[in-house]
Amino acid sequence: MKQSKLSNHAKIWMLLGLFTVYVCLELSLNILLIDMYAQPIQAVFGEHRITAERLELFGRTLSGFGLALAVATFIPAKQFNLLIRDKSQRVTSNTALTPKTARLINGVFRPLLLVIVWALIIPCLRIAVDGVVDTTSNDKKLGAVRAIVYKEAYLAETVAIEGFPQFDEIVSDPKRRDLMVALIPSLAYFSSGFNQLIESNLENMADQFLLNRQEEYFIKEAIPRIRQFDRTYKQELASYQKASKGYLEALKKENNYSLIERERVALQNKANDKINNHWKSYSQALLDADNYKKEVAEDSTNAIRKGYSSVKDDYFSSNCNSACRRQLKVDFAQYLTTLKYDTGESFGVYLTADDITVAKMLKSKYYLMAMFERGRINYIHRVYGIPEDMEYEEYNQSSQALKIAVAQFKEQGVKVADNWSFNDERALHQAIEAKYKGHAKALWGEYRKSSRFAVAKPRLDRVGFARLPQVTQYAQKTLGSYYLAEFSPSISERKYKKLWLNKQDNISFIKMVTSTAATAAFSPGGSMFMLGKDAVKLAVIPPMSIAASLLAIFLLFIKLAVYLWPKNKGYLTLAMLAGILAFALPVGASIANKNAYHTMMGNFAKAFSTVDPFDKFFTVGFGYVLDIENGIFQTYRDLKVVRLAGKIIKYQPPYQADDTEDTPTEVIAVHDEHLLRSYDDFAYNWLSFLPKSLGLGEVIKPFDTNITVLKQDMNVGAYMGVRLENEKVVAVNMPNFMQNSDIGLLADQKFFYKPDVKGLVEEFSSNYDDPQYWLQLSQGNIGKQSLMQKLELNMAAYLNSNASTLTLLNTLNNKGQNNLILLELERNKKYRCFVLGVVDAQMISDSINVNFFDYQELPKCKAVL
Amino acid sequence: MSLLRTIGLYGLLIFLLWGCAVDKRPDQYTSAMTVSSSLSAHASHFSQYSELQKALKYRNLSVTDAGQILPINQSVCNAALFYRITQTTLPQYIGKHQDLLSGFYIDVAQVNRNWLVVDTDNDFSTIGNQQELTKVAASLMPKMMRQDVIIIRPVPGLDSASLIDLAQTAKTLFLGHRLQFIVDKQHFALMNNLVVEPLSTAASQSHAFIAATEQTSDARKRMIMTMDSFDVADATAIVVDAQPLIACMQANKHAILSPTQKVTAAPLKVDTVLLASILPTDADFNRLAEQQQLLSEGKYLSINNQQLSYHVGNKPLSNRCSLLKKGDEDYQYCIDRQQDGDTVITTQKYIMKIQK
Repeated sequence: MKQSKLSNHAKIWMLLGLFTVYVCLELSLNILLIDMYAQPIQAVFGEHRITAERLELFGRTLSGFGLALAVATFIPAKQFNLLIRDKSQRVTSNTALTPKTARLINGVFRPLLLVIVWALIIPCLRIAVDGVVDTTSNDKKLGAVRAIVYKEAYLAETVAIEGFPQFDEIVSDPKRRDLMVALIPSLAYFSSGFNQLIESNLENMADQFLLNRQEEYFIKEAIPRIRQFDRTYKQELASYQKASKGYLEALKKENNYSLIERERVALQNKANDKINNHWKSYSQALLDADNYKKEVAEDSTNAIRKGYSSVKDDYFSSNCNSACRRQLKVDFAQYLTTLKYDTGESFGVYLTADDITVAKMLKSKYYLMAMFERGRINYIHRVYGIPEDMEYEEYNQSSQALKIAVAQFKEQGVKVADNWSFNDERALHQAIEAKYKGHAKALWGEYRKSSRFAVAKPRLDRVGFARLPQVTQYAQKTLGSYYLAEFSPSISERKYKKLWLNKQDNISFIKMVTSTAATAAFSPGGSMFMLGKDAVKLAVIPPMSIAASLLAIFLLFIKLAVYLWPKNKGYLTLAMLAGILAFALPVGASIANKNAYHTMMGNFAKAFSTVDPFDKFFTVGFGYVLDIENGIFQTYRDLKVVRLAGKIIKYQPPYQADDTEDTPTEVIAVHDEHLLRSYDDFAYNWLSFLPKSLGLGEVIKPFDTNITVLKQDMNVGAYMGVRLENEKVVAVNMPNFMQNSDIGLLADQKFFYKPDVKGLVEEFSSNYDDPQYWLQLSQGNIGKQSLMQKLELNMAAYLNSNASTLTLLNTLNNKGQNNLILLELERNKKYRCFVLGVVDAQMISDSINVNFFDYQELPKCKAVL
Repeated sequence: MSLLRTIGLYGLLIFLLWGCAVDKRPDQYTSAMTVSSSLSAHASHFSQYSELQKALKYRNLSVTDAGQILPINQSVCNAALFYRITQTTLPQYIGKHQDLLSGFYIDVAQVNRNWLVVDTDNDFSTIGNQQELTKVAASLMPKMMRQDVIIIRPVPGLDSASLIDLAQTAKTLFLGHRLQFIVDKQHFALMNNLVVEPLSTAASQSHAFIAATEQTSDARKRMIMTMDSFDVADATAIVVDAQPLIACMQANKHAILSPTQKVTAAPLKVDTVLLASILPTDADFNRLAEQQQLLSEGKYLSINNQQLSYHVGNKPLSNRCSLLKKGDEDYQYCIDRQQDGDTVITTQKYIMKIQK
């Protein structure tokens, strides 16, 4: 008995221990969910995608355990009779369980059941969630999209609610923000008042976001282009001005008669000087010929002197006849005349054989000195080109002097004819003119060749330059899609930005996906099917899970109390005390706080939740949930256990260092194949027959192309899904566009037998959300049969007959781009075309936060409807 | 004695061997060419014009004996000038035209197998005064310079035989002068065979051509143009008659140099010399009497026969930016772009309201 009591205590302790572990895990889940869904969708779908999936699996596993435990423990023992072969051992209502049976039931059957049910619940929850999402009406999906839009905008602090500064304060307070952000979508989704508030503001809100984004984009993309333009423009202007100045200067010289005359006079004077200087230096050189190279002659060791001596020896040798002597003289004359120093400088004499004296009478020195002087004089005459007998007066009018003058002119770039004479001043003037003539034009030609703008005319001022077509062309080229006719080289960036922003088409993704006409596109196969699913999941599931885990903790306490009550009041008190300390106190403090959420939400409900009583109740209740959650969240968000659980669940990319493009999703998927996930995926696929058999979800193949027609006012005109086969439109679906409206039923099929398909289609796309249009259709009276089918058939036929649009659809399909947005241009039924990737919730975040949200415009798309 | 003889002999030898130093320095250096300030051949040497002539020279102008103001030479016009002859009487400066003209231009028509010099327009549409070509040549030849070129434009539509005849006639009449004929492209080969330079009647890449009527004016009777490497047509020759100066100024906006003096207040004594120095570059210099009158009003007469104020004339539109003020339409082009586009102007929170 004592032993059994001891084991009882141990059992209770163990239970309490397990309970604590479970509570801790639930708590972790709760807090991690808040952490996760306080992130922008971008992050949830992006960097935290795997973590979010793991968290979800963790949540399902944990809740599955709780549910399975409940199932396993609450099933009456009698139900296990099926499994007991021995009839005597079976449970009967009137007798107590035999210990053997109790052991069998509680020790084997119940744990087995627990495991089986747990294993089934994990995938079933996923299926159930999918089912809930799939069966959510399109209107509700639209509501969810609005809720997500609000959440993202709220998180990005780009939206405020009039009269509720508290909301703004919360979101800018990092301590309080996360909780509010994680849970606000559920309020926005469930509270119809709040949802309506969002809906009624969404259009303006979307425009505002778009404008912000367009501006950011302009700053990022257009400003650098403008500055690039400015740099080139300034360079071009500077080079133009420089060239223009050079041109003018050259032109002035070309045309300035008196300047040219002045140059002529200067040239002539200079030539006169040169002619005289030539004579001066000639006559001086002649004087200097005296004792020329005397030192060489005097130096007995000098090679020339030695050479002379050897010539002398040979000359006077007995076997040298007159011819030999003559030759010796010739050779020696040649030698001295061509003699050069190492520097290349000539020895400076010119001698012929006749000038060579070979005699014995005097020392060689004297003969050499005499030869040098004579040779020098000869040399000077030759070098100066002046004959020996020419006198100065004769020289002054000689061809030699004329040559000097002509050479001097040439040196200055002035070319006169060879037969020019000293008194031909006109020719000289013209020669100077010719030097400058065409120079300006040549300079300009150089400028044009070297510059980008290559302006044809010089002398434009800044105003003229700025207006050149080259400038406009370059601006168009540089600015590309940012070019407006108002652009000029001087318009301030700010002013231009304003102009540009005003001119932008406000094709707002948000506006598009939240348009009331958009409900149709949320149907299966529609362009926003994925978006709707994502939105519902994001708006409903996370807050619900958070609330559920909170509830689970609370229920578990009750269950523990129920269990302990009959057994041990001491442990009960201990457990309850711990519970109160751990949860009731922080929660109570949070509720009692003067900034408590429930008071704020009460005020909010008064202002906005006026639609129905549930709305008001929900809003206030939401405030209390926030308070409770706040108490727990603020107390335990940094608890070690929570952080540890978070760390385990948080996905660490295996190759952190390797941050190349392919890391995020593909590699992750491979590395995340652990047992639980594999089981979950397997069971999910295996059990997916369930919803089908229950008639809950229908799977529709996505369309090849989804077409969204935007009217001139940027509101959605129509959605349609197109199926292509063999380059032809085989079917057009307009997914349930008359949903929630019985106007469609009034439509008369007779209308669609009208041969004017084109007119019909045009009318449809511009009027289909106008009830009057449908009422007009109802004038006929033959049956109410499928208006939509007729319209769809006609549309398919029409698209097939419309070659350019059909080509466009095929091209897009081949490229895998399946969202086509057609923006109606003014009046004519022509469209600008944009393509989008798959429309999902991430795009909401992108369209609020990201600098650029890419509607890729197809140039010359030629879509005509 | 023998020693003395030896020394004497040596001395003689040395003397013989040694050339004596040559001194060719003149007593006085003179200029090889006399440098004089020359005047254009057509400029007057009359003493009454000497001051005016000097003032005009600084504006690229000159005055003839007849008192006509002309470009100082043709090169200031950036094109060759040709005198269009329509009659046998010629201006006084012809004969001294080597600086002013490159030659003569005549429109020629054939009447009764006679070649006539006609007074017509650029399109040959109306024909006025007529003169026999031989008579014109006879009066012109004595006054021609050796280098003068004769441009002949035969009436359009002449056949080859007529053209050959005309070319032969012109060759004999203007013996020794370069001849240029303005003909259709199809006659280029024919002209080349006749050793006559062909000019085109229509715009051409390869040949000089006569410009369309829009480019002519009262002063600028005809224009001969060529295409440059950028396909821009440039005037290479201008045909003038009574108003060579205006034609020149029309052809080259920079032909006349800027005033050498500025008028700040109406001067006490206004004479032609002063006018020559102060008239703006687009003034009509041949109406100095009227200019004299107008100066007292602060105005002048432009070559377009407009009365303009000196203020405008002296400040050509070289840089409008210096005149423009903030608020003027074109002022924006004179300033650098303000780089203020980085500052965000739109980001405000959107305030959600209950829409009524």
